[in-house]
Amino acid sequence: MGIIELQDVQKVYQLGKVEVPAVKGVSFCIEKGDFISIAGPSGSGKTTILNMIGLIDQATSGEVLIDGRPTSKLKDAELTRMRHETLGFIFQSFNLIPVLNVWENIEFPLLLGKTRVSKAEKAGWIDHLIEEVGLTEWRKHKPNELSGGQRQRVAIARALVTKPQIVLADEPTANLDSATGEQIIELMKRINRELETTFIFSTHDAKIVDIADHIIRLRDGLITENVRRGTPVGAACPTGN
Amino acid sequence: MIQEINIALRNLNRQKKRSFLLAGAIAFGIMIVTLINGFSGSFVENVNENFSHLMAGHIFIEGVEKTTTGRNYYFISDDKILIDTIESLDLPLQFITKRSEFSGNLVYNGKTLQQNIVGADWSKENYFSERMMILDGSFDNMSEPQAIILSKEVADRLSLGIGDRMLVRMKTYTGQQNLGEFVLAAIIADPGLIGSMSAYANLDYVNQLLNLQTGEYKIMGLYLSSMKPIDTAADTLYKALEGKVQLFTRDSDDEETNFVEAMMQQGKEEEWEGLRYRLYTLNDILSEVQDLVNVLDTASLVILLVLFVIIMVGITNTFRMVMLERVREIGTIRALGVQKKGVLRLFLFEALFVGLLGFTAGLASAGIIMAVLHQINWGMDTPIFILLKNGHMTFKLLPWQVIMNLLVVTALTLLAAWSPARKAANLEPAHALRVQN
Amino acid sequence: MRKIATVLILLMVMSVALTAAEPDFQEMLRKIDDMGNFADSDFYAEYTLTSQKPGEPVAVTKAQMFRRDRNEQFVFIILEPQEDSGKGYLKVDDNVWIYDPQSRAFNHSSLKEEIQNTDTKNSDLTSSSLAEDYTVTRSAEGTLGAFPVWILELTARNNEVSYAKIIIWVHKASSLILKEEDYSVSNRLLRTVAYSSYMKVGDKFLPGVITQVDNVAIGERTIVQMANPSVAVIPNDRFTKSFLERASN
Ligand SMILES: Nc1ncnc2c1ncn2[C@@H]1O[C@H](COP(=O)(O)OP(=O)(O)OP(=O)(O)O)[C@@H](O)[C@H]1O
Ligand SMILES: [Mg+2]
Repeated sequence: MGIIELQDVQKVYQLGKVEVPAVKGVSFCIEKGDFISIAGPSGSGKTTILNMIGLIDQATSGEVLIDGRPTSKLKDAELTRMRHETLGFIFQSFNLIPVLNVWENIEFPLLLGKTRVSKAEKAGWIDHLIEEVGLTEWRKHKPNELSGGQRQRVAIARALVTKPQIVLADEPTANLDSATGEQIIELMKRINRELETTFIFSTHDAKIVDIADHIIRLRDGLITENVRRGTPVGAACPTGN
Repeated sequence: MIQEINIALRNLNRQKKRSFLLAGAIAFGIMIVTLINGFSGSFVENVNENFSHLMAGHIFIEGVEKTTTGRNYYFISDDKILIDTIESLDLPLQFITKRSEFSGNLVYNGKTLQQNIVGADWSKENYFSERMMILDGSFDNMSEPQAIILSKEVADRLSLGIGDRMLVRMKTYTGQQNLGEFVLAAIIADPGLIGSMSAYANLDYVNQLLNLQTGEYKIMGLYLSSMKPIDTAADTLYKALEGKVQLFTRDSDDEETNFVEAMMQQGKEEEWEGLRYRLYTLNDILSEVQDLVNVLDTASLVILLVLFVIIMVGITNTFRMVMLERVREIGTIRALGVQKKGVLRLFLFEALFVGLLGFTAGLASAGIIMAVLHQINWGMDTPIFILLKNGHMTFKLLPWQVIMNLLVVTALTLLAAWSPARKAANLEPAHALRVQN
Repeated sequence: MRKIATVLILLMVMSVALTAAEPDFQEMLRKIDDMGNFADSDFYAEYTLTSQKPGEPVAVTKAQMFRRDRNEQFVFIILEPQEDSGKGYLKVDDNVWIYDPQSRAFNHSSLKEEIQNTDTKNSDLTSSSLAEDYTVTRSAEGTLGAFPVWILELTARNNEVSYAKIIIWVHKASSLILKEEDYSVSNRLLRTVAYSSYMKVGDKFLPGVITQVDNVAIGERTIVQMANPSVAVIPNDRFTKSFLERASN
């Protein structure tokens, strides 16, 4: 069952009068619950593709379907709501809210929507996530009092707090040393298994690519390889399911 | 929403120095404006009150008798009708004063000086003596029938000391030459702003010099228990008197003509006979004070606007900077699902809090300054005496003025932050997230 | 004894003669008024008022007086000092006006007004009305210098004249006033006036020099000198406001 499908997606950036084609017609399908890596050298279009999946950027042409729903015609407010409801984000440079402490940063997305969850339930869930990422002792600390690895753990917990179907992580390990980076990927993988959340992360680090179930390699805005559990897969999601 | 307020407040805290400066600028503006408002608020009251003390009343009645030879004599001979009418009305009356006055020449030791001399019954006007700043001598000396109280300036110019006897040359109410003698009882401080103040003597002796009979006097003053109802009380009294005695028309509504001019014209133009009364109020005499207050209020509003145009530029620039600093943060929260409107609110809340903080600080510091200024005793011998209350500066803030200032500040702050906030809200999340900082 | 009787009779006759010789004082006042009034002609004169005050420089005011007493009209116009030139008093009907050339405005004034801060009043230089204003309440004979005089105490008939009481020294032979004392309502001496150097103007006599001594502000005095008196006809337009306005241009 495909949770995300890209159909001949192109992205052209306008740099003044010059058109920069960042993604030149990409199609692929992502299965729900997979742990996906989008790999490629710098400038290959990883961030651009993740942004389009994450609905923070829109394709110049083609269609991005989330859970079978086309998104190219949606308005900003609708996209924002979808982001909040179905997506979680992890950034390369963590992007925590500096004025909020660990607990509050994680809580933040929960305060945006109208949830019917009780306060205690919410707090229990946040505490659980903090425990999950191993930051119980740091729950009252501000981001600037944490190490890079710790910050990224906060970001992971924050991405998970709304129980999204998909978590997008654009080079989550790029700002970390390789040991910490590996731990972060391990953590994501563990959560992926426990919660069956679809994880898509991008990286240009060959060492951590292989941990993924599904690897999509890019070069110059085009897919060079699309392999799921050792076997190449088709560009389109299987129809009829 | 609560989270937005929370974050906005914490954001303020982030750049303490900057928020402090911004709020400080607003506070300064509010402080100045509040001080002016407070000052002008009590200005009228103090001036009116001081004048009401100097003139012994809020509403005044003068009698004018036209003789068969066509001359006008200014005095009240029988006030029964007036008193009865006043007492039959439900006026907020504290007491009635009866005074006579004349302008004469004081002569002492070869020196002559013109002086207005007011005669009052001090046994009934003892509240007045309490307000006099006696520099030398004593009010008790007024028990001497021919006693007089002079201002320091007059006493100095005539080289008079306590107990010295001086001559006074003046005219009776019919214009005859008369000569009297006064004994200096006390010297009081000069309230400079209203020029040379009157000298004070005993009503009986002043009447004797004016050739008035006992029971006669020149001006009746109605001293009300509060300043506010002067005009309504005057109207009520005028209407009540209208049927019973002849009255000069009261055209206090006519703001164009000067009060003195109007009085002169009345006396000239109207054809009448017998006895007439003129009723006027402190407000008629002090209408210029109200004009001055209006000028002050307008000035304070102009200052508020000018200050806030400057402050607004500051706010706009600061928030533009804040927006640029937080571009990636904005991208992040947008990615996390904050709507455009949410970002807008975040910025506006922050601006609002700066405004409220500045307003509160400004109001508080104005309050402190007012309290300090109020504590200072300027004395009664200062040129600004007439603006003071018992030698102290007073301030009166009208609630609507404070609310008005608050609204103006809030509106202007929000207006100033509006454009940067809009820009922040409209940032493309993808772009915002790419910004390195 | 006869001698004594003769003396007694003589004394009696003399006293009767004396009693008989006491004149009608009210008539005397009318005569004095008549001497100073020009009922049948106009009157013009130039006046110099020299005012002395202790500690101040002597102030000299020069002025012209135009009078038409039969209509109770006068115009008094100041020529000197320069800064007051053009200032004037005008009496029409019952009103006395003071004209200020600076502001070009007329204001109400009165006959009781002092001219230019001197001891001289308008009424001192205009027609006299002693008989109308006063009654003689006391009289005595005396001398003033070498002149035999009647000393008369006059009390005001109404409370509108400047002085409630005045005392005049009237030269017996001519009925001219030589000296005058002015008293306040409180019966205190305010001013002493000496009249001298009488001049014949038409068929009247007017004092050429009037010396007014202030008895309140000690040391203050004003000397009024009259010059070039005339009874020639004065043009009618002199006694109008527009004359004062034109004269100051
Ligand atoms: N806003 C933009 N305007 C113009 N060109 C852009 C913009 N964003 C990206 N590009 C270009 O699009 C191409 C793809 O960029 P993208 O950031 O997706 O690559 P990437 O694979 O994420 O690279 P990196 O590993 O360096 O993050 C690049 O050539 C980049 O220069
Ligand atoms: Mg990238």
